[in-house]
Amino acid sequence: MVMARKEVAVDFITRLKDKGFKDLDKNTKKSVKSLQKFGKALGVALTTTALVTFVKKSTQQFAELEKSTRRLESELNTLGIAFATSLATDFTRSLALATGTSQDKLIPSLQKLVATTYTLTDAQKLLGLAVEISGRKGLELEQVTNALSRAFVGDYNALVRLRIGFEKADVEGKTFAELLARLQGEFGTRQADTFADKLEKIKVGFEEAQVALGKGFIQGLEDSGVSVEEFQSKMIALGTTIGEALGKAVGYFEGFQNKLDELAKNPVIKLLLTGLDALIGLDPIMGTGRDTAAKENAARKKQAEAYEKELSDRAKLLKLSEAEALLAKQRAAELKRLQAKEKAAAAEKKRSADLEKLRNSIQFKFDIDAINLQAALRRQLSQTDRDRVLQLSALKISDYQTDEEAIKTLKAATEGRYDDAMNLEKVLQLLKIAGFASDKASIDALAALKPDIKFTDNLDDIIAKLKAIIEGKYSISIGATISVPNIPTPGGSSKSGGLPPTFDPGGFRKKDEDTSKDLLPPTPPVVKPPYIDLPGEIGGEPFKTPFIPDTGRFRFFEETGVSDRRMGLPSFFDPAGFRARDEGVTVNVNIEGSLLSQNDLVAAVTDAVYQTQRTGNDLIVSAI
Amino acid sequence: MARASESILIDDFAELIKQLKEISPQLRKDFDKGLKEAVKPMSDLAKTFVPGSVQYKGRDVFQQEPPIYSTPAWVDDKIHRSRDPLRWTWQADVVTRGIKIRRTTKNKVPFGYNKVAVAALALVNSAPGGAIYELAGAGKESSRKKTKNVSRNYKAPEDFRVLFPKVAGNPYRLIYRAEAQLGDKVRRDIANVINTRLFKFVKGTK
Repeated sequence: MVMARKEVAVDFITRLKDKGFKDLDKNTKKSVKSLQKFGKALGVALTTTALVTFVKKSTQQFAELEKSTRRLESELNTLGIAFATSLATDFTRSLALATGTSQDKLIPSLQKLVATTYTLTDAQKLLGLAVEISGRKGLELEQVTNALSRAFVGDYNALVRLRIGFEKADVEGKTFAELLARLQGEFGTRQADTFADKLEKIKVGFEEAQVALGKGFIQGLEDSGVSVEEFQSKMIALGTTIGEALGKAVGYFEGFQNKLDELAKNPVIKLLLTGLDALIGLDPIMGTGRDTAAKENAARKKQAEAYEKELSDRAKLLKLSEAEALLAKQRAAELKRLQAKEKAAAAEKKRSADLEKLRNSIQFKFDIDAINLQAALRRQLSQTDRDRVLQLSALKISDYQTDEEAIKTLKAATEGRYDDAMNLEKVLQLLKIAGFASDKASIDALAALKPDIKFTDNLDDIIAKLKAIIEGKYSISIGATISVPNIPTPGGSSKSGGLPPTFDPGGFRKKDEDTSKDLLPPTPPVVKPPYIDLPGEIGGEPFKTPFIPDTGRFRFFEETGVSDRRMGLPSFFDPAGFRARDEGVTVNVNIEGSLLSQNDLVAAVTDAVYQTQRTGNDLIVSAI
Repeated sequence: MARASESILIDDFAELIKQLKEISPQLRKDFDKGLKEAVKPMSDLAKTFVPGSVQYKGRDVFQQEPPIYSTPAWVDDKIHRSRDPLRWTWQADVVTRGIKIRRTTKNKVPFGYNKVAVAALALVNSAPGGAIYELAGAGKESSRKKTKNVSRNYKAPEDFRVLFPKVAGNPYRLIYRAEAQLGDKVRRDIANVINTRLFKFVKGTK
């Protein structure tokens, strides 16, 4: 480890260290060095670009490349496939040579795609496509890469903005796999190389040589029968060869001046031509036997190295596929976990909403403020106070509404439209609570009828109106006839055979034995049903709670000692004011019309039962 | 510490010089000379910034007299004692001489090129006093904490922090001040030497 520099200095020229090079990717290094040598050789002799400028440029490019390679490595490292860095750089290098896009553009793009796709394989596939799109459509590679990586995660806007034949309607509702298939169909196959393509390829091989080689050179090269691709692949080797030749030649020169003379006599253009001859296999540069043997040895070594590299690459590929499979598995598990979590969250949310709804419904029933307000409405109020109370009621109702509904309610109340504010559904909800309509279908039916009910009405009126509606709606006529059980003859038993045919109950009258005065049947007590505890409701229909006769004052027939005075029944006589001993009262419910549901029947029967209970007689349920 | 962000990077600079030497020793010398000439104006300018004495609010920052090493730590320690006791005083001529153009360094790694690069041509402020004067007051607290202080004069940084107020970024005092004024020109000149002069020389058309 080299320590950081601890001197105060301003650097003007920096050179790279050999040791540092060894740590870097060998392939990248090799290509750069070869380029550099080629640059030295051709730069001095041929081009109008200076040797060192070329060196400077190539090394600066190298520095950039090295940085981006490190970034890519770091990205792969986070995925646990850092060992595949050399595979990735090999890929970008070959892609650079194949497409004419320089590596320092390809590597950052690959990095971005790896970061999006989490796999090197997918990233490579997308990068190939991106380069092709960029080349064909004249777009920046970075722009295309961004669009593809966004599309990969489902955001197709950038892809549409590229204007490469995708409209918004085309991409809507499609998966990335479908779009990819289409893109590959359009851009997957390479079109015939244009002249510019070829020039670009040469530029990648040796950027600075572009000026020197130029159009004419490429034309000549094609005429010579060597393809651009072939030239490109051999260019680096040629550069090395020429560089070596030049270096050796320099050794023979006695001095620089002589070298210049020699150069003048033998311009290196000749060397280049010799190199080209070597390239197309006409004439090797090296002539001696020893050189040839050395060359063969070098070739063997190179072959062995290539084989070794291939083996290593295969091993890496295998490892990569395993690692990517593992990653995919992990991602699937993670996805499943997230989905389960989302589902659980949704269920919890629904449960909370249900709970909240229930709470609101109960709270509404017991909301003292609301009850007080409703009670206040039943009093005699001035118009101003009434408005205030109504507005307060609206405010209260809005507590139980969604925000949107609450706004409507409050707005209506502010404008004095109280009926709108206290929306009908709310009133109907009250009825549901009160038991007048026990299921949703009934509530809906009521709502559809839009009964002439105003929130400002007295609640008793509302209930009465609704009862009327229910009966009207379902054509239920409730009638109850009461069969009075055997009433014993005076002094006889109720079980002794019933009334004689001459018995006329109207001939009886009750009398208080203590006072010997006619006893008026008491008014049944008004009992508020416990479960219609409505806001502001005071009292209510007497039902459910059975009538309890005053046994201290009432008497059974046989106890009354009422004599048959052959008189008609007094007008106030009410048989229901009596009760029979040991025997109940049979209630016959005759239903007229049709019943829509079992609930109607139950409601009708219940109503009849209540009416009967009001009389204080027992019920005998003989049949249903 | 060293400023390398705008440095021209030549990865095989040593090889280039070697080849130049092989072609012609004169060529190499001339190339070297050209580079030095390009940096010299900046070096000269930096030297003019060296003050006769360094004072802050009327008080000398450096000691007038060399230390006498009288504390027990110094008495027992013969290793770290400086060969030149005057180095702890402000000697303008020594600082001036310390500003020099360094052609090559072997293991001095420029900041930002750790492990892979070394400086091949730099203007350095090599005298300890000059370096202290150049940098005092700079640096972040976080970087200070990471630096292990092994100095016998371990309170010196604190003293300097008191005497040299905190500077935002790098202080511009000697070579950095010169660099701020002439840096771009020097870099242009060096590029010119590399691009034009060397090339012309190689072509023999100068």
